[in-house]
Amino acid sequence: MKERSITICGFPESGKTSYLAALWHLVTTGAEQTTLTFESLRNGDATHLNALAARWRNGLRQVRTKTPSGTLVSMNLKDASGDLMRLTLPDLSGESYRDMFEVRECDPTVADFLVGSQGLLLLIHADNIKQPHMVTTVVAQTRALGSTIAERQEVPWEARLAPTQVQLVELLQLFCLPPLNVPFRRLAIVLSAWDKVEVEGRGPQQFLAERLPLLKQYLNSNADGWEWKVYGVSAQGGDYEKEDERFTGAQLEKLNELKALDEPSMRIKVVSDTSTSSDLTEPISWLMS
Amino acid sequence: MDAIEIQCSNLECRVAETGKCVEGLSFDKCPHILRDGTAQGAAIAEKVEPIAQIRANIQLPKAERLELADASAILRSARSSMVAIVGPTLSGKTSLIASLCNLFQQGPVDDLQFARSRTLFAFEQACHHARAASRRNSPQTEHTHRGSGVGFYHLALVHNSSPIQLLLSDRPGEDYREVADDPNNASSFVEIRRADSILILVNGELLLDLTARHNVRQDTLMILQGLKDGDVLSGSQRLAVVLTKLDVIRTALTADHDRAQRDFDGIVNLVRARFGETFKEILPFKIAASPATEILPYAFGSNELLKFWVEPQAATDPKLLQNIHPARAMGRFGIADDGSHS
Repeated sequence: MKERSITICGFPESGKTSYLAALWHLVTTGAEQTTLTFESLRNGDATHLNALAARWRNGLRQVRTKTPSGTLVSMNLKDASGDLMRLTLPDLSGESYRDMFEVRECDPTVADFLVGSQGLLLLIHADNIKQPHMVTTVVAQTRALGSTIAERQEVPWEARLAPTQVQLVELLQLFCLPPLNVPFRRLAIVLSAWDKVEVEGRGPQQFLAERLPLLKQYLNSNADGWEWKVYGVSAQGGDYEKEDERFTGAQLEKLNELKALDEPSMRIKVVSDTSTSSDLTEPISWLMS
Repeated sequence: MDAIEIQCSNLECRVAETGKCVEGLSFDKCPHILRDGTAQGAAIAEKVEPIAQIRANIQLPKAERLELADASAILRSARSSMVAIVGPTLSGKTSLIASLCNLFQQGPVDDLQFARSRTLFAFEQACHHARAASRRNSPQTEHTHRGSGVGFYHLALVHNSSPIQLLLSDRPGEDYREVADDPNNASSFVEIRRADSILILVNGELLLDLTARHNVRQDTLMILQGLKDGDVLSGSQRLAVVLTKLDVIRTALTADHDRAQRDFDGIVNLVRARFGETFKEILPFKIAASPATEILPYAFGSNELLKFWVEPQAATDPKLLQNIHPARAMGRFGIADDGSHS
């Protein structure tokens, strides 16, 4: 059995754990056709993945991964040609990556994962992108709406205020520079919560060009040699609730619609510019090919 | 410190990082501590391999302004262009630098595409006071503080499929002003010696000021004279004479606007007459790097400067530069041309 490892990367709340939960459900049920298929539970402990998948099936939001060193999960899978592999993925906290950008430090355990990986699955919450809005534009829009502009306390610069695309470009640049200097250049970009933005009618490539143009230019320029693909992924199909913040009204109705589907895998949607499926293993398979 | 391998199933506990139980218990008393991957009484069962060790975090490269040594390494390593941005205090040097990164955050600029930057933090800091995130009600730019010396911003671009590295120098305006008093002050201006292009910024807002306008002209000429007499100009460099804060001129009364435009044209003519032999080429530009209103789009004219820097062989038509295409530029930013005077 081949040992394979990829890194799932993303800032806090980018959907990393939800992706893992849905992936585990998808491969273990086998209800949908997938590029990689489940092989066995042998030589592993599926406690963490089973707990995540159970929450996912119940329509509950995942508990945020807090410690930087996170949790290592492994899956025994089979590829299209029948070859067996043990896929290892770290469920690391988004703060680990945020600190790399803001504090310019990397937890050594995270560094170990990165340099031992064959590829990078980069999750970006498609409906939570911080744009580089200019003061003049916001003031003009406020005036156009007939609102008054209140005097506000000026906010000094902090790295966390940087637009999402700047943070992402910098993170990818850091991966390619010493001391990290990661050995891989395959990158699968996952635009998570795709269900929130797909009504705008753009494909993932166009979304990247319009909402994250600096990132798109960086990748297109091939400055760091990334070989990349982009996917729009809805791992949940909609919003999930918390135990202590139960949905009511329309939100509850939508969640119940998802729960009413005969097979939970039907909540999953994976969109590329050429196809739509529920195959969450496809980006992973491409990263390892 | 000896490495210890320990994890906790309590998500609030950071024992793996700190070595301390969040509840203050000793490890043998805590029911959540995982030993050999097993919790005595895990609140949330998690399969955890014993992976965490207490080790020092790895320091990553900063993304601040580059020091001379780093800038030199870039210049040696690839096709590159050094741009020296010269001007008195508050002439708009930092605004111009900030506008460049912001431009690429909207998308490719004509046939130029962003490739990478080693100074993204520095660009972001320069941009901050023009961003809504600053919660300001009007844009402002921090000026480079006296005594901070020279630093460099880095932009790697792709131009017609060819990579090019731009290094933009940033030095306090006071330093440049002092070469007019004593050209020997220019001796440490490495960025001028190495520059492929030099920009001399002319503060458009001050040109509108009846009292200040004559000193604006004189400062421009004297700074250039100081650089020439300080023997830091190579003779093969290109000079851009850049009228900044065009948005302020646009909103002035017609008479003031026209006078400021004439003043600028006069400065360009004087520079050409006095320094025509000193530079390979002298071209005028008009920009509004960080307009206070939407009368002009953000970074208006900065794209023309980018072209000037990356296309040293192809002399830009001076007429094109003097009559910037507001309709085209505004259209790209989704703003209608109001047809006001240029």
